Parts: sequence; structure tokens; C-alpha cells
Amino acid sequence: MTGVLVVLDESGKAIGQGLALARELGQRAVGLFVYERGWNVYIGHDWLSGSNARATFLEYVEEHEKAAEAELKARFLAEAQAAGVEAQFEAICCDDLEHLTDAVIREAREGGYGHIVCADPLTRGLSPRRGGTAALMRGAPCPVVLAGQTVAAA
Amino acid sequence: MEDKGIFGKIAAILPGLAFMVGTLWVLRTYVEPWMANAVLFGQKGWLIKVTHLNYILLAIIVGMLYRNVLFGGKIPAWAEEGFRTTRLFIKAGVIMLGSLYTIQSLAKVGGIAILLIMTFVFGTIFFVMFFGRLMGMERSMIGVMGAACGVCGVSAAIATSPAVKAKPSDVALAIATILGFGIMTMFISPFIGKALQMSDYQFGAWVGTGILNSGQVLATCLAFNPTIAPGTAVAYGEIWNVVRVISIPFVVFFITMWYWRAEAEAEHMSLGRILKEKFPVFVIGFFGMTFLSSVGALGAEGSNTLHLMRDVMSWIFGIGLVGQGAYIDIREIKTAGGKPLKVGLAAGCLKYAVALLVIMLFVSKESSF
Repeated sequence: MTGVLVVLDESGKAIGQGLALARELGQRAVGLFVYERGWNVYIGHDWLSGSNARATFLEYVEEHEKAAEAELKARFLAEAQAAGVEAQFEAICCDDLEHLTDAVIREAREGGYGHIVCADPLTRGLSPRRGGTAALMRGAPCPVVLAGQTVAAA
Repeated sequence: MEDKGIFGKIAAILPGLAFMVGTLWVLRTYVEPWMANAVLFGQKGWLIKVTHLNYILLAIIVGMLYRNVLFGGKIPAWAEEGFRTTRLFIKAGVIMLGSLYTIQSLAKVGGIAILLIMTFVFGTIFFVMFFGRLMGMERSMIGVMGAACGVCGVSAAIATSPAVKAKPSDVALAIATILGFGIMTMFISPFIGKALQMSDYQFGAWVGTGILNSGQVLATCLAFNPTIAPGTAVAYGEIWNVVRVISIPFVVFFITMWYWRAEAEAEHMSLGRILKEKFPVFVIGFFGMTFLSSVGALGAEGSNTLHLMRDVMSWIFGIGLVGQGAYIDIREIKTAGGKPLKVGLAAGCLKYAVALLVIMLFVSKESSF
């Protein structure tokens, strides 16, 4: 098992610590952005608004996610280059009924990673509402490093 | 996504739907009659008389137990499509509720409903704007919380958030707050209503004004009095609710204007565009049923058609509320916090209490229906 899986979130806290760990271990770092798919279910309580309002909201969330992906990808790769760490970026989607942390666990297992680095609290999509890092720690197939503060990679 | 075709889609819906229907059937056929006859603390029917539990509240509680205990926090894939029909059931039920009124009866209570709703909707929005600023909350979140607390919870929050560019993760926090508050009021309001000996008219008016989320208004009214007929809590509560729902596009427009006034990149959204995007079309169905009732197309009061329709409605709402209970994830609600929680609780409690005071002081027990 090798490689550091850096879970990217809006806080960006995991990037510095993930790259620092990868450099220290002499391993590659993979920045992972997970698209949240649970919004349609989460807003299931909303049975009043027209389908237009619902669709507009879901499109808005999708746009927000795409913008976050672009921003985090650029930031992760730039910081990796500056730190001299071999890095890749990957974006995946949750299944419809899957929580974001489940998708991270699946990815870590399939990719055979040695470590997961994740911001605490994890601020991506619905993850703060759904157990966040606690759920990740319970199911992760490898050690999880929680990044509470930004740590400079270089 | 894989296209299952019409038969595949129906097949995907059936397991979850059968589960919800079966649950309600057991509750109505066995559990509720047992509760009515069971002797507890030396009193027959204690469970119903003291706890005010009926099949409506039981449906929600059992739905919550499914999600949070039986399913371990996540509706399983085999049931998901079926449970998703909850929206359809409740919307269909609300459309059918239009048959409880005539145009004349709506005109009688409509005036006071519009006056009360508009006062409380905009009063709450202004309070959230003031208190949110005081708490240092972002303008976008003030907009979302203003709509959510002022109009009707989750629906208003999702209708407003794209217009004010709210962060989705913050919207999730606001939704958790609104749902948590709504669930609390849903269970305590029938007790308060009974304790204060409120009439169905007063209770419907209070709940329709004071409870934040529309689904919970419906459930609370049915918990207070499960009878679906003209002059019952659900008939009055739904009038208030429909007036509130109609105001969603106007509130979104107002909040959008307020938000963009202070932003450099002002976005121009017309009221017409907002009406087109946000107007809840099912309201037209509701008034369509009222029209049919007014012209006598559904038969006179007491007719077999109306009797059948009300029986169907009670099943439709019951099934929908099992599903609605199953959308309540306690873990998600427990994570509500931060400024949205403080502002939401303050605005929600204030609205709930002031609405109760106003109704008790100024709304007579007898309705004009």
C-alpha cells in the first residue's frame, strides 16, 4: 500500500499536510475531489416548491461543485509542484445513495493507498451533516491523518 | 444514468411503496385500535387521550425509526425509489384538500389568512435581517434564513439560495436547523393546542402561521384532529399554508432585490422570471378542486364521492408521512449549529410564540366556514 490520498474540501486544510506527508514518505500524492450526489435526497422534505425551483437548486449546487473542483485542482497541483511532490488529481462521483465519505473509503481501498489525509472538520457538500471525518475514520482501510490547521508543504 | 424504461421505473418504486403502504395499514388496522382500547394507568385509551398519538404521528415516528434505526441512517437502495414518491403523495393530497372549500368559504377566511400570513412572513424576514446582521452572519445566509423562517422552511431555502449565491454546505446547515425546529413544534403543538382548548380554527390558524415547514403544518394539524372535512384543523391550516406557499416567489424576489442591492455585480432578475421558476404549480390544482367543489361537481356535503375522496386523502397523507418521517435523519439534525442555528431558533421561537398570542387574543374560537 503506497501513496497519500488527499481529500480536497473547501477549507483546503488537507493540501499542505497531505503534500508534506507525501514528501516525507517519498510517495506520490493524489488529490481527490468527490462530487456529492445526495442533494436530491437531502432536500426530500421539500415537497412544495415547483420542479423548476428544485431543478434550479440542484443545477446551482452542480455549478458550485464544478467551480470548487476547478479551484481546488489548480491549488493542489500548484502547491505540489512548488513542494516538489509527484502529484495527480482525480475527481469522482458518489453513487446516488452513497455518502461522500463512503466514496473516499471505496477509492482508498481500490487504489491501495497507504494514508488518507483529510481536513477536520471536512467541509464538502453534505459531509458535515453525515458524520464527516468520524465516518471516514471508522471505515478507512489505512491510517487517516486529520488536518486541523493549514501546514505549509514547503 | 441507466434508463430503466417505464416498467423498470414502476418496478423500482414498488418495494419501497409497498413498505410504506403496509406500514400504514398495520398502524391503522392494528396499532391505533389497540391503543384506543389498551388500559394503562387504570384508564382505557390512555395512550391516545394523554399522548395524543394517532395514526398520523405514529406514521411519522415509525418512518423516523425506519431511517434512523432499522436502516441505520440511510434509506436502502431497494426502498429509495418508493420512498421518493412521498412528495407525490403529499402534493396529490394537498390538491385534493382543495375540495374541502368553496370559493365563498375561501373568501370568508382568506382575508384574515392573507393579513396574518403577510404580517408574519415579512415580520420574520425583517427580524432575521436585523438579528442575522447582529450575529455577523453572511448576507447570503441571512437571505436564506429569512426565506426559510419567514415562508416555509426547506422549500423557501432551496428556492432562495441560488438567487443569493449561498454556499450549499451552509444551506444544508440551515435546512438541518429548520427541520429540527419543525419536528419539535410538530410534536409539542398538539399538546399546547389541547391544553389551551383551542378550536380547530384557532389551531389551524396558529400552526399555519407559526410552524416553519409546510409538511409539518399538515402533519401537526392532522395530529391535532385527524378528521379531514370542512371546519377541521387541517382545512384551516391548509388555507394558511397555501397563502404562504403562494408568497414564495414574491419573497424570493424581495430577498433577491435586498441581497443584490449591496453587491457589486448586481444580477437583474425580474419578478416574472422568478414567478415562472418558483411558482408552486400544484396550487393551481388546489384551486381547481375548490372550483369543482364550488360548482357542485363533487356532490353535496355527505355525498359518497366526497366520503370516498376524504378516505383516500387520509391514506395518501398517511403514506406520505411515513415517507416524510423516513427523510428525517436525526444525525443530520444534530449537526445543526453555528449562526444559522442561533438565528433560526430565535426567529422560529419568536414567530411561534407571537403567533400563538395573536391567535388567542384576536381570533375567535368559531370560524366563519
